[in-house]
Amino acid sequence: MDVPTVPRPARGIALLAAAVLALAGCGMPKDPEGTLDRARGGTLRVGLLLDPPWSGLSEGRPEGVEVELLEGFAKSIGATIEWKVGPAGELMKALEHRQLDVVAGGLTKENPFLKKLGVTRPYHRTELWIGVPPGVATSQVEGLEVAAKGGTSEPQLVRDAGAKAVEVDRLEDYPGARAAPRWQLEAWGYEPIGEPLEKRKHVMAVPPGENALLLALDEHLVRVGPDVDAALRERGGSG
Amino acid sequence: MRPARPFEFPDEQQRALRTARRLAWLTIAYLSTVVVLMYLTLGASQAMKAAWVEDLLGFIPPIAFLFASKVARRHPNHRVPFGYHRAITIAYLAGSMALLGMGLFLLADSAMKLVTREHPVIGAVAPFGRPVWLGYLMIPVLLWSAIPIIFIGRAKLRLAKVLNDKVLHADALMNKADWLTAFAAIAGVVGIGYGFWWADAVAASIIAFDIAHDGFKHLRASVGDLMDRTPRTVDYSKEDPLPGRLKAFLEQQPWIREAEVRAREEGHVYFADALVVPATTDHLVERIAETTGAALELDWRLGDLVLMPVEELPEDDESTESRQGREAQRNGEQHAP
Repeated sequence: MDVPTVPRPARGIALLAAAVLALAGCGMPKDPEGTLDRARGGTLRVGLLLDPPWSGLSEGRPEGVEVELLEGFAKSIGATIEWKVGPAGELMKALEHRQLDVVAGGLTKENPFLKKLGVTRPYHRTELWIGVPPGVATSQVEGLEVAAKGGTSEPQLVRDAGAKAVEVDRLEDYPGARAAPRWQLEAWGYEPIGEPLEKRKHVMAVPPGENALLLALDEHLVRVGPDVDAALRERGGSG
Repeated sequence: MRPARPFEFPDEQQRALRTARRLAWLTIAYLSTVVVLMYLTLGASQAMKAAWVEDLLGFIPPIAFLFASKVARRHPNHRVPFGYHRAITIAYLAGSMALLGMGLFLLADSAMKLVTREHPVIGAVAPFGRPVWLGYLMIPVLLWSAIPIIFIGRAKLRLAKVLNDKVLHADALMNKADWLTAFAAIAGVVGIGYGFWWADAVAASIIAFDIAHDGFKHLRASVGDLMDRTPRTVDYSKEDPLPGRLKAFLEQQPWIREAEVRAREEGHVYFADALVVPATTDHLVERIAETTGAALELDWRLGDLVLMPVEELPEDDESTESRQGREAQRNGEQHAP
């Protein structure tokens, strides 16, 4: 009974596995709605949220770190960009219904809008810190007066850390301690103190299920990722 | 009150039991690697999620087997006079309910994804710097979850027959069918890869249905045991002929005129009550003891036998032979009267 041949199921399985692996190689992934193919050599429709220095408008034209990244991506697929600026809710809805191809602009991974969308891998990670101006020798966060951007979650994060939040529109106008991402503090020459207030992973969004577009964008972002730090420092400004 | 007689597996079964326990440990170790790898490559694929859940549930049969095969061999005692054989059945009942519940939940979940036309996002990972499509990692992981278990399942099937262990048999069949789950999931991933967003949810529904179906089959089996059902063969295809053989053996005894046997499953073994109409009441007690001893030698699967002399056999709606004959005819076999 125990003739040493390869048992029948093993042969069948090996054949099937080989077929699967061969099939799997050919051109996966594809977009269910052909988004990448349509954009190639054509138009890439980008929705832009405004969040300097990631994205902003200069004399009506989009500019910023992510604008540069996307312009590089469009070039790599031979596409021209059609920009659309608008509020987050509207742009995300348009993306979900595939009326836009990409949405970007200071988006971080935790953003609840991103739940139903395709999201790239984080192409930049940073943290929000409390920073003190050069020459100030404080390392005590407790009770410190810290400027934080009004209209965001940052003032509350400052309070949660035990400091006193001073809500301002422009952090550059405040002479004392400020709450800002690490790269920004470094550009100002500020010193981060205490513990990081928040981790931030910057991403971009594509329509759900358009996996070929997502992969292509991811590959581009990995390639140019190192340039982001330099671009941020450049735009960080002083003061 | 005397407890049921202590149960010992014969040599062949002892060896089979040791091998089966080793296979159970092997299954647990192997499943651990599968579950971890699949968790790392789940992504947003519904089919992967269903396959992962099925593998998680796959821990239950070997754990139940290892636990119960120790407990079931404890000698009957005053507290538990019929022995611990049912320990396996109880553990298995819990497991089959988990299977059924989980399967139905996943089926509903996957159907919802089809109804809402949700397009699954499968992006890239970059474990070594360069982004790679996650689907390319899912496929080898699924193959690893499919292929070794088939061989483990076949080995278990052989042992289950030797041990008359329905739980092990059911577990083996589930293992052998696992390849279907993995290939359904692969089909789902490849489907997404080619742009068919619905392939994932369809594959997941198939897998979920398989889980629920397994759960239902095994629920039916373990409930039957707990209901003291007439013993069936280890694969449930027909009634076990052993009670019939016991009846024939008893009626061959010169001092017994007629006999009727009532048996039930108790885990691996069968417990039988025999009503006999004696031809003579001379030396009744000695004859009962001697015949009981000889009857128990018929097959290791007879765990205990109680012989009860009666004046006449109770009226029965049908005899064992006619019922087995009907079932055999249904199964398309010839039944020799």
